[in-house]
Amino acid sequence: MGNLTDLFPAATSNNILEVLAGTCDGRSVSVGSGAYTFPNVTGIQNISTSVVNVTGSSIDYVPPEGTKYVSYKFNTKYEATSAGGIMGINIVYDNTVITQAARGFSGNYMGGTSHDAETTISMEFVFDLTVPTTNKAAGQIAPADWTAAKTIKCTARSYSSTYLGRFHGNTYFDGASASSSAPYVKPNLTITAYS
Amino acid sequence: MGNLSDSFPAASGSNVLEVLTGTSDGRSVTVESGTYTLENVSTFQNLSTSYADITGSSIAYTPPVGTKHLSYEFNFMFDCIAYSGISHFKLMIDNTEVIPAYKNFASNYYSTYHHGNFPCSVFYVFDLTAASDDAANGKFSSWTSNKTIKVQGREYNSTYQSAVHYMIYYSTVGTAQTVRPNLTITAYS
Repeated sequence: MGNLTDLFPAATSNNILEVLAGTCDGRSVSVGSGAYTFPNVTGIQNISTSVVNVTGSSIDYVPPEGTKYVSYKFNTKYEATSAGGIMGINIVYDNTVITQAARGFSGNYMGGTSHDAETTISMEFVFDLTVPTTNKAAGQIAPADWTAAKTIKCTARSYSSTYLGRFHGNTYFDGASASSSAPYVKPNLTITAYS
Repeated sequence: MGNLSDSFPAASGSNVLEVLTGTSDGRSVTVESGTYTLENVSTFQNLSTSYADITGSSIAYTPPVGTKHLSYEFNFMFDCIAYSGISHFKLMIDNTEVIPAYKNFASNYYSTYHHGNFPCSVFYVFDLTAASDDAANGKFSSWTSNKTIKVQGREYNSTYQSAVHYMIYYSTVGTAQTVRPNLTITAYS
């Protein structure tokens, strides 16, 4: 026997099945699809010319039954630490780069000495689960292929060893000069499953 | 007569209890926990070397019963007025700074040009499942009455000047326009 509300739907409803949202401080959050532990970001992350996982961005997620779209949103800071700090960042699903989610960031170039640029980085992509066959690179995932946890994360690298940068950092603090005492930023991760 | 589902709630639902969202134009928004009036941002705001409340960012909010996590997202435009415009922004709750949400914004440095103009956000998810209150880390064991959440900002020094809610190049170069910020509060069970 089903629920009465299967026959008589709620007076109001929406198409959000669940939202898994948290600041990346190691907290555990339970939603309909399960319990998740957020990464614990404890400091800045310098990047170089090697591709690395961006700390705080990784989550092993399985959407609830009936999900048609999954939104992944990762919000943090990026700053140049040399020259323009040119970098590239990707969203990666189950070890496959989502082509359309690729982004590049940089400050303006002012020789090799000035690198003040600091800004918000918000990486966002909506996976389409209404397709019959999976195309990971396009972010199209057949529902039958996402019934167990898949890892979604961001990876990044610097353009070259001349243009370096870092995530989660603040160079200046309350009017004081550049200092290692400036607080770092804990990033935020939000996963939304839509029916 | 009410809806049948008022007595027999849905078998399953999302964990979103309410979303309070709006552009800061003075509108009133009613959600489950009450009616809230957003600030009316009618012009841009120059920053100084002292912390000041960022217009449009302040809300006195009480989450609905059952809230376990509460996200605050404030999106605004940042503009460099002089040099790279290095500026500091901190998230406050009832006058306590939420330290992990501290952010600097700046463009790159140039002595005469200051074209940097881009969207920025202050985003944090408060944890209401904590055993005890730790406002400096955004953790609370109880939140049953209004707490004021807001963003404060200042310039690094008087040489590196900046403004918020300002779009310097709009359509035609040199035609500036005020950009109203957006505020979104989401309560999760």
